[in-house]
Amino acid sequence: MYNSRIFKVLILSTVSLTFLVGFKEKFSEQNQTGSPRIKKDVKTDVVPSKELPIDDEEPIVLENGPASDDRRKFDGWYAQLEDKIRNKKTIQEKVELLHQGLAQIEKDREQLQNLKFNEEIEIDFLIKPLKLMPKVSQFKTEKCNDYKMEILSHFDPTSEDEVKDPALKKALSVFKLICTN
Amino acid sequence: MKYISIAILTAAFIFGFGLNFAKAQEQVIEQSSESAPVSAAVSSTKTLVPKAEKSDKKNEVPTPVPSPPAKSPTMITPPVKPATSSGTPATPVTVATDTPAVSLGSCNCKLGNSTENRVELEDANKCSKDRLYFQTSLKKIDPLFLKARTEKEDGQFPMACVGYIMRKFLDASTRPSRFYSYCSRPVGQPVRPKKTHCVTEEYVTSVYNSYVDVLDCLDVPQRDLIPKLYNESGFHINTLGSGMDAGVGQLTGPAISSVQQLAVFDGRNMTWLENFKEEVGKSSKPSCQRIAKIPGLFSKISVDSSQRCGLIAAPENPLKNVLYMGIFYHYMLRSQTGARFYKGYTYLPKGDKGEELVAMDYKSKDVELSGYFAEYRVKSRIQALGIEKPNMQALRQMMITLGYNSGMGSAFIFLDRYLKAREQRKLKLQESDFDFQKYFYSNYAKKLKDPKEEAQRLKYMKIIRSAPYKTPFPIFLRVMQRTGTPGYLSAVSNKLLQLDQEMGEGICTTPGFLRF
Repeated sequence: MYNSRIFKVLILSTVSLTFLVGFKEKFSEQNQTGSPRIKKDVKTDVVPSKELPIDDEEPIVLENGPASDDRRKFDGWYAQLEDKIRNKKTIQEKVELLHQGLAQIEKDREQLQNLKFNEEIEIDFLIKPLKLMPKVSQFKTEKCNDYKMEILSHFDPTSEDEVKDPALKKALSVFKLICTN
Repeated sequence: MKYISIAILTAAFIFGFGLNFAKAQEQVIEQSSESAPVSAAVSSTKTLVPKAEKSDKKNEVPTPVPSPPAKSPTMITPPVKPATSSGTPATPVTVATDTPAVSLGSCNCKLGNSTENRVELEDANKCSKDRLYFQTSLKKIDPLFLKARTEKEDGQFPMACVGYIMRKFLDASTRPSRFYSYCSRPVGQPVRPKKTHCVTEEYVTSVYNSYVDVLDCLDVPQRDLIPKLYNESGFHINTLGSGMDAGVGQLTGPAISSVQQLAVFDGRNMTWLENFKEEVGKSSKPSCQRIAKIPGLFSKISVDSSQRCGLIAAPENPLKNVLYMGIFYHYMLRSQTGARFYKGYTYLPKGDKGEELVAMDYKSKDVELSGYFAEYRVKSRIQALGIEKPNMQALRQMMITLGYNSGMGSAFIFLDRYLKAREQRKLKLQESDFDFQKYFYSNYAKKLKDPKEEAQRLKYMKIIRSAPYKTPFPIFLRVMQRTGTPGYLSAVSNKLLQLDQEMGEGICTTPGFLRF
């Protein structure tokens, strides 16, 4: 009698285990649908994908030597403008000064005869993006994000928050003195 | 009792094992579907087969001829498989019960497991489930864009171009790639990595129809953007770049923002999107009428990079994505040339004050352009530098393609400074100085075995590094492009050459593109 009870318990536990194992496999996390055909998307480690060739992406270091005196002169003017904008109290004053300052710098730049050709490009990137900002009469603080997007759209549309070019980055830092958000 | 217990035990084992056996079978099914050859497709796709065989000259992809000789010793040529004489399958991998794979025509190429020299599409039944994540939502696309079109409604290039590019671009059919993503809804952030979506007939047709209709309606030369899209998205709706550039058109926050930006159109203040909705609605072009019918197509989407699904999720895309790409094209076109868009056609301002508008003739090389072209006096300066009749249309194409990557403002800074440096040093220009199909920086960057040639190369490299303005414009841009990807136009040109070689010259590309 005792042996027979033990035998029954053994049989029942074996039956339960067999069913459970089967169901666990079928309805586990890895296969929530229960369908034998649909498999849940398996998360696989990212494998480095084969990149398409882009004419050798290595940056090319220019052999241009140190910055010219003219470039240093320009940087001085730009820094002065930056300081003046920073010290203005209202947004309107800042916008007005920005446009006046840029116009003056552009005029003075014409007198610089010894800028290297790469410096000319850098200076363009310091000035031209900021010239896209609207004049004080049309400037609206709440549209600052649109203004920033317009600058990026014209000068670096593939970057969103990470502008890499140093000159454009610097121009955007001036932009941030006006559009703080 | 004992017998009953033994019977229960046996039944339980059999049933339990049965469940596990079902799982074992499932694994076999999965494995087989992943490794199945794609050439033996089933055909829910009969509509396209006759198209590839019909003798419509416009859409027929010719049997490729052996690769053309290199146009210059410096040109990069992608590796090309030799063409078979007939272009017919050399080793057909078909099972008796299967119908032939959907073929869009011949090529000088090998695509995955497909028959050599055929642009064959994949069969959904042969793709693993993890390559069919958009299948259900693609079916919800409006039938106007999902079904193959009649000859009249076709585009300026064959669908084989899109099929070829989709299959050739960044193959992640076996392992997921972080450049492919998935969106179940048009909101939120795309999920990556994903495998390449199965290149089925429905998938290719929906992308092709969207592209062709939007570009036709917006009056954008259809083949101009194909090499660019081959380089960036491969026409896949879920390509997601590292900078969150999304979908077929690889749109970024600034590009989306530009499309939704307010501007003045004939004295009225409205967004570009609103203006185009109006003009598309007024157009009598069938392509515009089809687009205008799609509800919600012209609705705004979030610029936030965490919401890029708006430009990836189907069924809203690929149409919405391509529409945004097309409007952004006009946004740049207006800044570079002053062009305006009315009722499906592009117009250029004429006269000193631009008071008159004339329809844009994309074939005319000698064209007067306003916008940045006028501001920088590009034409007269190039003429003064020795090119009497510069191909302004080719230059416009170059600048707009570059604009997508570096921005239009930047593109003109590079061109202006290139011209200025040559003006200051009295260095004349030749037409070949603007030939992106000929000059590639990478040809000078590799060390050569021959000592004389190597010495020459080093000498040239010194010029590239110290005075790049002395080199042709493609090399100058490779060195001086500060925003976007340096050498971007050369990469696009590389794709153009590959398309010409593998699909036939001028089939998927605009003849003379990226050169004067």
